[in-house]
Amino acid sequence: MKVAISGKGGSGKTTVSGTFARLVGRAGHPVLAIDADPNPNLALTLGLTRETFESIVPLPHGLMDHKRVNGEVVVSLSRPVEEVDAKFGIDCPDRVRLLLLGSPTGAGTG
Amino acid sequence: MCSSHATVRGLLHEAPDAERVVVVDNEASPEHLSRATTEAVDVMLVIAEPYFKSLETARRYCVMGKQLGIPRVTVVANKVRDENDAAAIEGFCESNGLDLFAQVPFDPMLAEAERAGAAPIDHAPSAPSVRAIADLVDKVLATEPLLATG
Ligand SMILES: Nc1ncnc2c1ncn2[C@@H]1O[C@H](COP(=O)(O)OP(=O)(O)OP(=O)(O)O)[C@@H](O)[C@H]1O
Ligand SMILES: [Mg+2]
Repeated sequence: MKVAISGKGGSGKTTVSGTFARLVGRAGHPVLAIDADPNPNLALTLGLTRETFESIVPLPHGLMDHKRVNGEVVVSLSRPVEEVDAKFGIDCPDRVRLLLLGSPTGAGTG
Repeated sequence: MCSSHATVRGLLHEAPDAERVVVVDNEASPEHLSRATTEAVDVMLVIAEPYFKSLETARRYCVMGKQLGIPRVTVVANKVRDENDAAAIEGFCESNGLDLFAQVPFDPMLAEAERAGAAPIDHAPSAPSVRAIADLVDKVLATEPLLATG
């Protein structure tokens, strides 16, 4: 199942996402939490320390394949998500794994 | 233009483990709500605060989400302080045909947790906001057939 959390700036997306993810993990399901914000901060709500968060390495460009489909640029992973998760996912409490699409230091990744 | 929008698509499409639950914390900009990032999403939770601008934004997200073919698009009210807030959100959702799925109360614990540098669920696991989100989780898990999609 895939759950997307959206809403106006500051409405509480990250608060709900992080707590939601931890509770789903606690209910016994493996969880992949994806921080899709270019200014990521989901890690802290998931229970990682600031130090761990700042040490997270952003996904490298090489992992992404760019293709043009009907005029739309479609980016997909060049490696299976399991492999990307294994390499770049960060362990959080309650069986949650975190993947960051933006960079914790704010350095642009693309 | 940041490629992070498009990256989500790859991740969502290529996460075939049906048992796993994928949770995507989006950025506020409506740009992420293109077909590119929402195609494989089963449930969209639109977080709305009880004031008009936030509700109006939520309404637009709901419309977009439905247009993009997301099977379930629901509103989650947040920072609800009292019955007036609850009534305002309920009224707005009702008159706009929006599915109001859950209400999370305004909870001063969240600011404390932030100051303490802790996750809300670790800082105060039985706080009202955490309990409301737990109800939301129960509801989503109960209504979504976990094994339906890959
Ligand atoms: N139910 C609540 N009660 C009180 N404060 C809350 C509640 N939900 C969120 N907040 C506070 O509101 C602020 C914004 O929350 P959060 O970061 O989760 O929003 P967001 O939608 O992810 O923001 P952004 O658009 O910047 O990503 C935070 O300080 C958070 O602690
Ligand atoms: Mg956020």
